[in-house]
Amino acid sequence: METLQNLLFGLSVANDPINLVYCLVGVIFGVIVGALPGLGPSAGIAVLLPLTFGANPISGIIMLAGIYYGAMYGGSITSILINTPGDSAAVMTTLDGYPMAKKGRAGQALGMAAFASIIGGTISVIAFMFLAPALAEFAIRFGPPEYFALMVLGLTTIAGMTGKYPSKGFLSALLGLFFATIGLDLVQGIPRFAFGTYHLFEGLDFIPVAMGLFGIAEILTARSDGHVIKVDKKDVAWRKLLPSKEDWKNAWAHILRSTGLGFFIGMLPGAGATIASFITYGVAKKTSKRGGEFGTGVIEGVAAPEAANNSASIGAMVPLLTLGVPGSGSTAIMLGALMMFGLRPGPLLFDRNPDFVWGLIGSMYIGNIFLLILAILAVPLFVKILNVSRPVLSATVMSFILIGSYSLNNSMFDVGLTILFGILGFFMKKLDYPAAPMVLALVLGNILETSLRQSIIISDGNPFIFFTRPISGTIMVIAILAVFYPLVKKGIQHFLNRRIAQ
Amino acid sequence: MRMANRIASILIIIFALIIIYQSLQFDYMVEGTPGPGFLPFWLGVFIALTALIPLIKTFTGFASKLANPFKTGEFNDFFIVLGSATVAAIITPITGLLVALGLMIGTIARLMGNKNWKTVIGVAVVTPILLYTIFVFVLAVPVPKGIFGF
Repeated sequence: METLQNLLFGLSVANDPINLVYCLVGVIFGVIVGALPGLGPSAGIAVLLPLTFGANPISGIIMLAGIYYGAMYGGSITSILINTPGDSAAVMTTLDGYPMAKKGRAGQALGMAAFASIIGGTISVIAFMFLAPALAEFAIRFGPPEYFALMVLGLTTIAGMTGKYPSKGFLSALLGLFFATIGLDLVQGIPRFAFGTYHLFEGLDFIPVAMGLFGIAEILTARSDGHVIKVDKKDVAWRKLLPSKEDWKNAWAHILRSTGLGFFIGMLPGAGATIASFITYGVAKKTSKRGGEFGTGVIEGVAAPEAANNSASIGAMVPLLTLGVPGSGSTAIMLGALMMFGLRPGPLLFDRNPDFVWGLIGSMYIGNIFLLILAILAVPLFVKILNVSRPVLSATVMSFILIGSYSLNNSMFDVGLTILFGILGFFMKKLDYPAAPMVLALVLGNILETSLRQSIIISDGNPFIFFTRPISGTIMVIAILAVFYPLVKKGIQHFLNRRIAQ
Repeated sequence: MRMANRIASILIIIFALIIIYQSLQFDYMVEGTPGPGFLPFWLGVFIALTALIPLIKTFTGFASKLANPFKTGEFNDFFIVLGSATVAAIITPITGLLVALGLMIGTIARLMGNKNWKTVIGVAVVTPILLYTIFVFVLAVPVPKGIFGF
């Protein structure tokens, strides 16, 4: 009953005209960003973050959340129409979406992608609504050692699971933690690693870093794919976007199963929407009666990953808002944005800022309705936007990044910093160093150092406090296991391969 | 890939050693709690140790199987985009930010392969107007003005 009351309150907050506008703008931009190959949700949120500078925190985060789940659907448009996923979470959609389009069923594939995304998103919001307050209530008992352990867990899992090589993920996170130490020290007030410039006294802001590492690096490494989107208008006419009864019969069970799995995987730090879509596609293939036909254009192959990536994007909000520990690059940027707005995500957020939390939950329902309307009515328009040539797109996005980084502190220093991190991001991307752990570490660095100091004070200088308290001890053990997980996995794989060879 | 990884690892290790050296200039502990030098010191140590892993891999057969990420022409966009952005930042005090960005947009669009001058000029003019509307008009950001007065 209390949850229902809170939801009604949240819906009233989300229904505020200005919040509705921000939600709609977020969803529209999200779909565009998701659809444009080379601009994923992380880069999209980083680039569009300056649009929220003048907004109140609720409107700002409603827009960023809209971009996030809007991008999850947007990624499917190019996957289906030109076999080019707009972002990594939409890779699996190409496998059956594009063959469907080649058979002249692009409309039904896009329609099913939209419906699956929206059903997945909406069910996940319901799960979020019940699960998040319960988790927040549990986490209210957490002290500095537990927070320190949680942040270590967040960093080790995201570092170990993103990118191809875990060692490079850990290096990225460690360098991010170092960047977080730049600026005035919290205890003695002396500048650390500021290179004599007062611009760095307040530390490195995460926005120029995220814009450089995600936005500029994407522009510099996006390949000229030469795709020209030529779609028969009749194939994407709105009447064709409605899947048939047969399609629904084949897909509904997969949508529900993938929603549950996607939400759960989304909550895990480091896993995220991409892994959710990979796993659920595999599960759908195994459980479907038409498993052998997967890859030739079956509707379940579109429905399962699309339901999963949207539900994972909502699931990822659970640790972000209840524990203050994001599990992906996109949610790390959102955490930075929340802090920029003066909000401290964590269990107390539900008590201190109920309007914010429930307003966001309410806006997710409304945002999913916007997404459905856009998906049905505006697909032909989105297809037109995709015809923008890469040089024009790169130039426009670059200008947006530079003016956005300037507007952060009205300082050209931030522009220079953004360009510098763009260079770093380019080399990191080329050498397979993932950027997400660096941004997450930068965002969490200061809180991590503070929790470390507070824990040492509580324990009278005993560093084993992190292992002697039950909750922090358990989390630390999991974090250590996460560090060695890639090695263990490799060892098991090596052992199995040898057994098979024998 | 082998050489690129090796250079990157060595640079990171040098960077880590600088961090360790610099962190020793700060107090390690202050009244029983970690001081300003504590975290950077250990970060430097862990960065150096972790960077050894990809470095060691470059001496095994593993790295040679990977394709070279820096092929001929891979740096074209790098120089076009970052060169134009750097020039835009330098000329901003003279031209103002919006004009500098307009010039940057035109340069990037043209050099990255757009052959149509109408499109290039169009996007170089329209985008700054759009940016002005969003950032100056709506968000009231005081963008640097130049000799043209905007």
